[in-house]
Amino acid sequence: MLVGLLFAAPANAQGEWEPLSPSDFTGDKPVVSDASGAEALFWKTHVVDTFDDAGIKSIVSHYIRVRIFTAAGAQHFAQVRIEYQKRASYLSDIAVRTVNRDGSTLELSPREIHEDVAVRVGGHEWRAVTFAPRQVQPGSIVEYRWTETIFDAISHGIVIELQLEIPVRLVSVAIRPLPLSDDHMSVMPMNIGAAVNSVRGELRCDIESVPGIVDEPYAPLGLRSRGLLLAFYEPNEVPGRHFWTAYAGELQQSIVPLATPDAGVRDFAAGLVRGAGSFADSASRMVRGCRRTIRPLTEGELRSRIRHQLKPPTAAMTLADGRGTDLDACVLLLAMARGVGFEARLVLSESRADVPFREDLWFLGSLNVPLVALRSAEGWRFASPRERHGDWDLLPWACESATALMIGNDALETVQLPVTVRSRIERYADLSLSAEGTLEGEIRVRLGGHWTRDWLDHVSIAGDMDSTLRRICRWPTAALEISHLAARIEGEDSSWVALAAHVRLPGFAQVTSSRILLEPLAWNARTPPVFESTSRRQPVSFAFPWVVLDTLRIRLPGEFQVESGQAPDDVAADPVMTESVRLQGPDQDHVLVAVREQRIGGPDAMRVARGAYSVIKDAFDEVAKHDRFVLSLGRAAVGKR
Amino acid sequence: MSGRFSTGVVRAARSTLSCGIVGALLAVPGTAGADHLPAWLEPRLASVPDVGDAHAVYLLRERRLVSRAHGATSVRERGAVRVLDPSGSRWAAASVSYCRGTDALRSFRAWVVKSPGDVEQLGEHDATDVSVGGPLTLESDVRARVLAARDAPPGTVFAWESEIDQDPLLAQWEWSFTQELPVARSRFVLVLPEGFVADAHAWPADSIRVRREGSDLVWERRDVPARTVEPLQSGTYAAREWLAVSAHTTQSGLSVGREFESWHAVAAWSADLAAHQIETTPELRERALQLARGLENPMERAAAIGRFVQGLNYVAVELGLGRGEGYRPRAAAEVLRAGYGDCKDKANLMRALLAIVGQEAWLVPVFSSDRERVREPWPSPLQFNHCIIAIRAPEAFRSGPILESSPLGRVFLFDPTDPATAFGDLPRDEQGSLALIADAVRGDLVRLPTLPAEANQVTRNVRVALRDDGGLDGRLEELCQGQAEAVQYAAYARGAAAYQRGLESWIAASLGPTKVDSVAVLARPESGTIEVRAHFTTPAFAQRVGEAMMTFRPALLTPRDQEMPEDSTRRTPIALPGTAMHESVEISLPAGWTVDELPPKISLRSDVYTVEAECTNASDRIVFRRSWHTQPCVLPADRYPDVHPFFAALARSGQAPVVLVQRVR
Repeated sequence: MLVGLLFAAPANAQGEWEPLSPSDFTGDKPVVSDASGAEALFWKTHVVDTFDDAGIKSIVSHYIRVRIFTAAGAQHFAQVRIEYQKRASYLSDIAVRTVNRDGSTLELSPREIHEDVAVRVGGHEWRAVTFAPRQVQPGSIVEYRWTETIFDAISHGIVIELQLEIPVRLVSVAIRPLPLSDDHMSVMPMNIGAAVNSVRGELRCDIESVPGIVDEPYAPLGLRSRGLLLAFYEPNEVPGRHFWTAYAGELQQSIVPLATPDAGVRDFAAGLVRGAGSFADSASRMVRGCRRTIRPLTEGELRSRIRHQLKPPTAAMTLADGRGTDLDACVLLLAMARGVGFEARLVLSESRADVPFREDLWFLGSLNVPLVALRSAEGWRFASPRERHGDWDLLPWACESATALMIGNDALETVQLPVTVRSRIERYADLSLSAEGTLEGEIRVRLGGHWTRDWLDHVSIAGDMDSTLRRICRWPTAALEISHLAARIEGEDSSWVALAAHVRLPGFAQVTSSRILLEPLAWNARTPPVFESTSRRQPVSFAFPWVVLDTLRIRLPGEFQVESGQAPDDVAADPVMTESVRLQGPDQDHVLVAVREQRIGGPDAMRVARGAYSVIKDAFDEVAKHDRFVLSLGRAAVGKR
Repeated sequence: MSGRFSTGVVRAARSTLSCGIVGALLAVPGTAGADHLPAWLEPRLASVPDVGDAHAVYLLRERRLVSRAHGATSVRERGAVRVLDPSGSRWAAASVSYCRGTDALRSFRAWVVKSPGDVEQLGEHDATDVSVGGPLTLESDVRARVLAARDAPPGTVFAWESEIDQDPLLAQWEWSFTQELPVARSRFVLVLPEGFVADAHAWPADSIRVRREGSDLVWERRDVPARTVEPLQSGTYAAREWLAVSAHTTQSGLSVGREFESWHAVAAWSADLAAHQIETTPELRERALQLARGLENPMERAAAIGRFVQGLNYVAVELGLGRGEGYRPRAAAEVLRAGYGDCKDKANLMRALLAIVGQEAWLVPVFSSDRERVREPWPSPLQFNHCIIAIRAPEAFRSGPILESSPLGRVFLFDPTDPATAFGDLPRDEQGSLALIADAVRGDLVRLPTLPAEANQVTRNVRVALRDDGGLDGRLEELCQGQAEAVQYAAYARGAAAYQRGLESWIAASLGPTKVDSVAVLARPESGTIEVRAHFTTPAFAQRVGEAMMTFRPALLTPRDQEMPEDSTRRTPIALPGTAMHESVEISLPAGWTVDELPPKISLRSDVYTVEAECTNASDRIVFRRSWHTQPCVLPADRYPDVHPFFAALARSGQAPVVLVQRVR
């Protein structure tokens, strides 16, 4: 469907094709990464903040020029899709053309640019503009440009991504801010080296040789794996702690009336903590009560609140309504805690999957996770009333080790949130080995901490406990037969998930003419390497630290005994990872016990620089080797070597 | 793939668009309250069928079509699903697809029943309307409306009802009784106007009988098991119960949609739709002559034209589907000008270019991805989802997928869409399937040729030096032909770096952590071969067992792209791909070590396979040779005991270890 009106307007300042130079066509391989099938010669973004009678708006123009090198690159750009939300913004000045090596150009007419509803729900509509440049083939250049006008917005607190799926020779961003008397715009590159210049009222940032986005195991999470540009208005004075103090003060002023407990909130909290024996017990009951009582707002409810510019509800209103935002839930927990005599504060945390907090930057968007601090005799403890599962003080993993602001009555405190080390995978197996090499028996798995949440989230999304169990056990083989699978959630706070199943692995151990060769660590033995690639583009980042504890009891066939083999040495790559394996037996019942303990990450080892990748890979490779260790079982008559 | 491009700007105050869309899809606000349940639903709420370990069960799936003589059809769908465990929650959702322009979605409602007193009704305001066009689709008329429960704990019943008014193109319908979940009751109901009769076919043959309830023709099945998913299935149709119905009338002037009496009629209709889409233009002529220049042999010309068309990008335009445009290729000149098209556009362009150089060709609708899908008793274009081309083949031309006696004589088949499949080969899932040669006069259904196993051959040679510490240093040489080549070529076309990562991943999965370097790939898509050479180093391959023993699997590398059924029983037919593999692994032993045990020799053959594996020891080295060969065929499930030994032997040959011991000094 074509929306002609969108394209009827004359081109704006960006409405010209830039001249092509012969060098644009030279070479038959990409410059930034020779593995790419297409490479952007440039990607220019121009942002203009404006203000008129209709209000503020931000006009963002894009221009991208791509050189195609392979058939796969051509197919990648055979069709382009640009999405936007109706009413919040609109697209205009869309132009597309293909330029061939001989200089011929094929420009799409407005009729060849299509627009349709991508998704419509609850009165909201996301639209997609699609177009197929003509004759895209290896050697050709595809270029297109468009402008998005965003209503009721200026470039304050925005994050501009600087990477595409393909490499870019030159990424260029220019922002023309509103001329304000008290504030000025700051632009800050993140996760990428770049300089920012001010040129005739515009802030410009040019970055050369930007690699394409790459998918790697244990890559930094979310926006932390991407080159970004932050843009925000800040006061003309040098920002620093006093700005945050003032901000915290304002926030405190607005939160205080909302978090003042009324009788209903007091009664609710008092009812929860009645009979509690300790601080932790009381805190746990309140957090649990809050989690169970307040459900998250749906997207539609949230948008409705924003659209109608509704004021944030008081704690009492949230309690009565039974639903709310993350901040609403925190305000309620604050009020509940205060209502029963606890000292409590609102905490705003950064997320390790989002823009990092820096005190010297006036970038409010970096503190986007509200939490609550409760004072115990030993100090402050932190809680998230929005998490559905896990201990009351188990924070979202993205907040662990994150920097946060704790907002008090008259003070601002920067805190480093604690990292829990209670995420565990405990796998226990009681198996019998047959003379034919089949392993069969019962397994039990307990998951704790963040793994509980991971499991519950995975089951609700993937919807298949069987595949989830295989994933947890990292037992990919199709030969694994699972039956009698049962799962239950344990603990009042849903802190643990327990799984049990009967498993059968035909032909797991290798039977030769005189031996059985057994890998006693069973599920670990067939696990593919964690880090397969020898090269690495990004740091290694663990979401949270965890411990894996495996206990495998294997009853050997009566006529066999251990002929040769021993447990491998410990692997230690402190503080990132350690692993130890112990073997016991076989005892008089022919039961061999293998115990493996593996620790990954830690409070000080959540992220490892790219330069240390080979060290980490070597350690994980060593673990993979150890996990495959073999015992040779000989028939009793063969005897020990 | 597509050049999906978000704006690159993420606003702190507003999510990225894609996040927004995902959020919108997940957000399903409901109107809480004791809404009234429809009468049809209430009797089913108490039903808890015994369905073994299924996560959810359909209590009802029903489609009722009321067809009127002037063509308008009302389609009502009803369904109810019971969630049985937490994993079943995701089934508490329903979608109805419709075609913009010819379908009118009159209503779509759902009920979430958690207990008799806890009923939530979902309606238009809760629905998400999405475009169904895939990532390679430029525009699409096909849309879907989705309703989903916000949460559905075990025990929840999710029910839905939709009503659509259609102006159907064809007087033909199909209904699958088998679903991903077990179905307690599945019904297809058809109401035809006076003067029409229904002609129905069911698979498995005659498994479902029609009964009449007043004016309703009802096909019903109860307690239908969930779809069986097993390795080496040719697709899903062989494992499902399904129904195909056509309406016919002998009275002139009446119509509920286009009728087809025979495959000739379908072929003529398809040919007619495409007839005017090959009109020659100067650009077409110039391109055809350019491609054919200097090539005297007509099949060489066809190959050159085929390679050119395969090189065009794939982009689909799905407009006017309800009026039959989904069956009509765009004009060849337009496709050439744009430089992209879908399968029928490409086949039609190739037909036009061939016509200019004097070669006769026909469009051939097929069903891609399931060679068992198309059924001869039901002449219907609904059975196809892809289009290839048949080219008149000279007698002298002997190689490749040739149909010796088609209704149009001797023809050669080619898939101009799949850039990884060479001229002279045919995608595996199309081989042996039923396809339609679209000719106005002599068109008919034909069975496409099946290429012999030797056409899909892999020859692999590996030489490695085993070290005292269990590490090894080796060299891989592999030559792939036919469909084995197509798989490798498709991976290689995604980029050399990605291909090397895939190679590393495959070798590492077999040998443990591995570094691959010096990768050289010689791809000859025109001849359907690809040759890979690589050097690799594995620090820890063989396992030391105590001080004086070492063990390893001499097969080294697992078969690539080889599905291996391991279950002892089988419920669905086995689609054996035609494959020939020859593998040689030479392992030089570290000094001071000698062979203590070698794997036993394996030799097994039947009418559809052979497998041979032997490991020999020659002084300081071990040589492992393995070859296997499977005839391309589809075997009934009861033949599984005959072929299971093949897969067991293949697995055994890959797992069997060598044991080395240290020589006594």
